[in-house]
Amino acid sequence: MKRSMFYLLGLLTAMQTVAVCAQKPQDSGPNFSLTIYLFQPGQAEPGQPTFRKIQVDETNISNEPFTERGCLEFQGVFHISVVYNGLPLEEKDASARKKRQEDANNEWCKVMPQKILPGHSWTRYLPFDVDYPLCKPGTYEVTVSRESDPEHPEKSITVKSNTLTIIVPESEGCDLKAVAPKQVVPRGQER
Amino acid sequence: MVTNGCREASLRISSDVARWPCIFGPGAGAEVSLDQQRVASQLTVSVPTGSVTLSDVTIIDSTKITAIVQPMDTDPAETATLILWGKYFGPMVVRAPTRAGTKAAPAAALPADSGAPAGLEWLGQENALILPQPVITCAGASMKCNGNPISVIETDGATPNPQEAVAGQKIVLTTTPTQESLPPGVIITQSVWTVDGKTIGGDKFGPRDSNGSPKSSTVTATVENNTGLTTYWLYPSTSGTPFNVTYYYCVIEVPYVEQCSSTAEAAFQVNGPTGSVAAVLTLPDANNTWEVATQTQACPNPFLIFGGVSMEQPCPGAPDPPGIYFRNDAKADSGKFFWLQIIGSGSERYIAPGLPNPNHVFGPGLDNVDPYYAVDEIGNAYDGPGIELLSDYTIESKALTANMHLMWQAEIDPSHIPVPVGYVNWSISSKATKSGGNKWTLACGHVLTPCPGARATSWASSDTTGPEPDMPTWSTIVPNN
Repeated sequence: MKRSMFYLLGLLTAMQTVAVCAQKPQDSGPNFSLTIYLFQPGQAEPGQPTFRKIQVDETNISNEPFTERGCLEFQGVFHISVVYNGLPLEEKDASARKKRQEDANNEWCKVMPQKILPGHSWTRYLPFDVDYPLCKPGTYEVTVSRESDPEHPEKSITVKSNTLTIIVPESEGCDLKAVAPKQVVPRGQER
Repeated sequence: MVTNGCREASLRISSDVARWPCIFGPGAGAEVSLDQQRVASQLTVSVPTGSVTLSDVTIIDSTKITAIVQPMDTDPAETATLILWGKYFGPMVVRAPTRAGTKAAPAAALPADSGAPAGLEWLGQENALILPQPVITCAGASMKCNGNPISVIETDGATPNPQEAVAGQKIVLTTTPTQESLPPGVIITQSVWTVDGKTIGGDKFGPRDSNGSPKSSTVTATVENNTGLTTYWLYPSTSGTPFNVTYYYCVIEVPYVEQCSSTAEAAFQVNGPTGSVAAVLTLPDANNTWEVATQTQACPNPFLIFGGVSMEQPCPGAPDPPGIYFRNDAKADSGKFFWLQIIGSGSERYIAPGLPNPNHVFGPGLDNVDPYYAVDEIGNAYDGPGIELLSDYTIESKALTANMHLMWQAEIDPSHIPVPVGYVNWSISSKATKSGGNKWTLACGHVLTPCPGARATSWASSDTTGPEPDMPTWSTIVPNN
């Protein structure tokens, strides 16, 4: 069932509210750090990129607990940048990603806000190989960032994660064109 | 010399019987025997069709066999060919003279230690194939034993030294001899592995959906009939009781019968997580398990929801508290845990007099995303499905059956796959009725009227009595609340 735009606006408002919750008082810097890892459950069918996601651990580096909202990983709060063999890599389809993030409107999200205690972390998994299929063999360097206070850009600080290096060997290369459905031409209509 | 009977040969025909029939047997002072290095099981003797007859075959032990060989006509051929074979050596062809004056085989054709007397021809290594003993070697880059032979021969009585491995690790084993190393004309017809413990040959993921989750996940069985083996153990072995791996091969050398090698044996001590999962919920009491959340400014319709309603939430898409928690009770020295939920079946029914009554049926498939995303800050998963209560209808209900799987992966690299640890098989259902306006009340799912069929049972994935197969698989993604 589709929910109303009114509901969607409500959700967006709530997201903003929670984002405020994740801040420290101004001019004291961000209260969290980001650490990323490779999440790689296994191999893919031939022609498909290996199934990889980025695990993001958001750690409370302050002395106070704060509350963080769930499903941010689907809603565009985290930004991913990828360098391939030393050069910035364009994502596969930015408009598709934006649409996906707009659609991630809690229609199915059931993640409660979590209170993160000082020194504790909360783990999320970023959709990654959809935007960066890592089909070409080579060295990829991945960094994740997010704003500490997206509602107040003038006060916000961009918090960056560590950089993850992923080496894709020849054996894991993939060719998305190879799995494109074959066009079937009815008999008698061949050119 | 035939006239002097079948003579002794180390490979092995012995007799002092003077004439046909050539009797091999203790009573006649003759036997077909093998030296200890060629001890066989399933020892048999045969003759090519149409040459001589073979009768009264008696297996004495693994080295001795007796029989009567007799020409088929009155003018017998000068030699009779006997074919000896057993499980652990190839067909040895021993040609016995049948008449006096038969020319002996060239001395060069006899092994130096054969002791074969004149009059018997051993046809040599080409035909008397002794199969090389199989050897199992580690060939996986992530394996500590990579490059090392790790097997012993089962019948030697030795115990293989257990190799270290971890559940989900890619185990790659190769063997010798290979087809290329065998003599021409000797063809490997079978390669036979046995592997203790529960294994799979691999798991594969299909194309991604927009959230980056595979639309399908399939598991293949371990192929146990190749000269090499690629497998993944799903569960750890018991301490001190490693998983055994055995291998033997069979060949055929035309025109002779198939025969098989001895069996090589290796062992692996497989480590992994211990413990399992537990469901934490209020069922079957069902007290306050379901709630009807009233509409708010941000949420124009009420919700029937499995769990509590948080005032912090604009809508009860995220219940607080959720109706069920899945607690990770497993422990591992290393690696990472995560969750996967597979929806078995679900339905959302909408009923109103005079209206079409849609029944949204969903499942089976992956619950929204891989990995499962509703996980708290201490690593426990939870769920609280719901259904929006729409003013057009007077009755709405929701039912769901699912399996929440706890997975573990030892290393995040292509040589390690996630393995299942435990799962909770759970079902819920509830119904709400509209009493007036858009005011809804629970028809069941509370302390006075529990909904039927509510249950949650925890299983270790390795428990074969559980309702689910070992590895969670799916062929579609089920978006649902």
